[in-house]
Amino acid sequence: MVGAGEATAGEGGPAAGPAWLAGLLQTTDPLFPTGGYAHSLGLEPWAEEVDLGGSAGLAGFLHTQVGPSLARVELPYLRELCRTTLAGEWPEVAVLEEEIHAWKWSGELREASLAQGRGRLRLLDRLWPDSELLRGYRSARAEGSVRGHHLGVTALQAGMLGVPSGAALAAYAYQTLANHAAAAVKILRISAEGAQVALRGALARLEEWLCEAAALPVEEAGWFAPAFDIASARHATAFARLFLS
Amino acid sequence: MNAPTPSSFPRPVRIGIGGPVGSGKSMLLLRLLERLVDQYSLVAITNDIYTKEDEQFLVRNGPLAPDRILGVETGGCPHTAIRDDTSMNEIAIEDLLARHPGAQVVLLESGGDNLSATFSPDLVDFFVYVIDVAEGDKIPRKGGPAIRFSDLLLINKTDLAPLVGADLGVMDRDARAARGERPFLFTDLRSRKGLDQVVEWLEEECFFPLRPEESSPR
Amino acid sequence: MTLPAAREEPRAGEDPPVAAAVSGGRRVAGGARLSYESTPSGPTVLRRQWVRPPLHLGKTYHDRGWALHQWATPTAGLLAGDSLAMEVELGRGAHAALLSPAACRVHRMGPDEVATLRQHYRVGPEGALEVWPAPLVLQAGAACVQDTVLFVDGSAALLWIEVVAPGRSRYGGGESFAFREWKSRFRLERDGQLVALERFRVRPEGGEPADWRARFPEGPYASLYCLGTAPAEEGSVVERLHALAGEDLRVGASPLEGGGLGVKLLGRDPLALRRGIAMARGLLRGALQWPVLSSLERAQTYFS
Repeated sequence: MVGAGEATAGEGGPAAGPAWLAGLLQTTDPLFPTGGYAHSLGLEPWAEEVDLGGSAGLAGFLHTQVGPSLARVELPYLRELCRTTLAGEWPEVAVLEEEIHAWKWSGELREASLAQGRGRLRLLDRLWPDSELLRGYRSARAEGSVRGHHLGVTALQAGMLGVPSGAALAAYAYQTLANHAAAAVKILRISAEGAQVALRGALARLEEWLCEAAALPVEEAGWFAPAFDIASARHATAFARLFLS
Repeated sequence: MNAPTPSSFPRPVRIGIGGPVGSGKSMLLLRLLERLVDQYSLVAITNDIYTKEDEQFLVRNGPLAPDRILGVETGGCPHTAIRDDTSMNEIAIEDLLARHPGAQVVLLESGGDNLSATFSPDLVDFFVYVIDVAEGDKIPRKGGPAIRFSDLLLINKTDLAPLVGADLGVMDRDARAARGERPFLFTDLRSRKGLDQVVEWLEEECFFPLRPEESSPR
Repeated sequence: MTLPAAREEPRAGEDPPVAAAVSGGRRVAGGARLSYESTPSGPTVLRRQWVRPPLHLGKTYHDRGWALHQWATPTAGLLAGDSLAMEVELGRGAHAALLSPAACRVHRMGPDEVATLRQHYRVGPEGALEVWPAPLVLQAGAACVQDTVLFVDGSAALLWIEVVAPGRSRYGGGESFAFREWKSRFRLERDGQLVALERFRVRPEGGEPADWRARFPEGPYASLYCLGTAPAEEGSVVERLHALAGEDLRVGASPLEGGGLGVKLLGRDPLALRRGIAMARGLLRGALQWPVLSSLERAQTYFS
């Protein structure tokens, strides 16, 4: 059964675009309250580690760390989560979330993902309370089989709103890049406009990263960034910090 | 000790405490816990920008059991955590109420912020705003949504007024002008001056549906 | 060229694969299969062993109830098509330490060839295992596939150390990130629960890994996993590990799900990393409350 708000992929209104578009825009908006504003997702400690500077530093970070990490880990996992969630294959969803959990080596980044997942799940519950998929996910979470990572809840959201997998992946990638750009304004010597310039440069490569992700089986998904991991771990014991991760 | 009686409200009364950095929010929270802990089943949340400093302050100095206190780190945006994106605080409240389903009052202290910070009406039922005389006696005159629309305004650290050249008469006049009928009080919470009136206001305006317990778990 | 997919790792409860005993042509496929047991009188003994080149296993030493073993790849290291498989099992209460005092080099090879290094460890109840090798050196033109799986019982303890050098620091004018490809899969399970997963493919030709090279363009890397510390102590151990860092050494430690720590280190040069590993290892062994095994410390000449 498709609950209220669960549209079929591709179904559309004539003028407003596909039926899922409004839901996707709403849930991708920075105003959608999931606690994301409190996380730099590793940018703050990395900026400290290598003195990132301004706009060029942010652009470099997005091109060499955030984009490739999306392409090689998060987006392949999100694609598989979208598929298994839509089919209600909760044991498979649980295995994928378990791998995401273990892959996030830094405790802060693990916690950030769980916190944002929980915040998003809470709001989905309030906005689309009749969703069958949501009930299925909630029940798997209550049993302890799925953890509620942000990627998992994002896949659930895509399924609930009938968002096609490709659009869900693009939206998640945009959201992640934009989150870093927003955090950068508070961390680096960069203006909001400078952050948008860096974001635009990264988004120009979005298609490339999406294609790379599409070609990568989830069993092969992975990314290696030891210096970034070290900086992220050190953030937990930093004397001063602005963000939770 | 008696087991706590669930509130007759569908949810516990939520009181927000906001104000600029150093105005006395943590001291107000501490004093309220000291005064109310034997009458009501309380839980407390502290918001801090960088650390869980305020949580540790309460755990060390306050009368509440540590598992009734939760620190929320808000990152660089303390006002976001209480107004624009309250999800972290909502989740903290859920967690505390899961631990203490009989809790009757949630006291939520915001991180220190500017005069425009207000609480989301979804997050708290009542909102106490704390400023202090050392910030300058022009503060009430500056207005802003918190000074104008908070449910109770406290002008704290009155004992410092002569030392910093603050004119309490001016502050009184400007607070009346900014707030109209809304109440405000002069306090020195460190020495508990004015605390009785704050508690009286809370019990009359906020806690009216609650029946004070003779005692409740800390 | 794209490296072949690493073999699917066995799930908890399955037996690790048997190392191939094949040695044909120029390629060598060997390794070791070792099984340790504790004895009623106390010391751990090597109950079963099977060893084939390119691995050489020294004789067993005993120190304070632990069985200590040195291994080495006394040939030139791993050449094109070579594969090395280690399968190690510790029975209930067995305590073993494995070390290699000499680096394992992966040499230049043809564009379609790789060397494979597979390690599977299983630590039974109340067991304790330390693995402390000298670096894996990825020389210019090398391609290496690593597949590491560790199954650790909830009552057992583990200290796992892995060191990787991105080239020969003293070769000619210095050789760094000139290898062709390094593909690795690392899976650590405790009581059947996955607690750490690393999976990656690094191709330096495209500038990877950019973060490592931005920090220390020529320095080596180490990864440590420690299971069995008291959770209450982990916070202070993390702080002490972080205090080891300086201009020539970066150290990050993070708690694992369900207890234990992961530690990563990067050094400006091999000497800085060696010092860092020695200090981190000392802290972790202290947190594990393991005895100092003087035979083990003496045998590991790479770090002394």
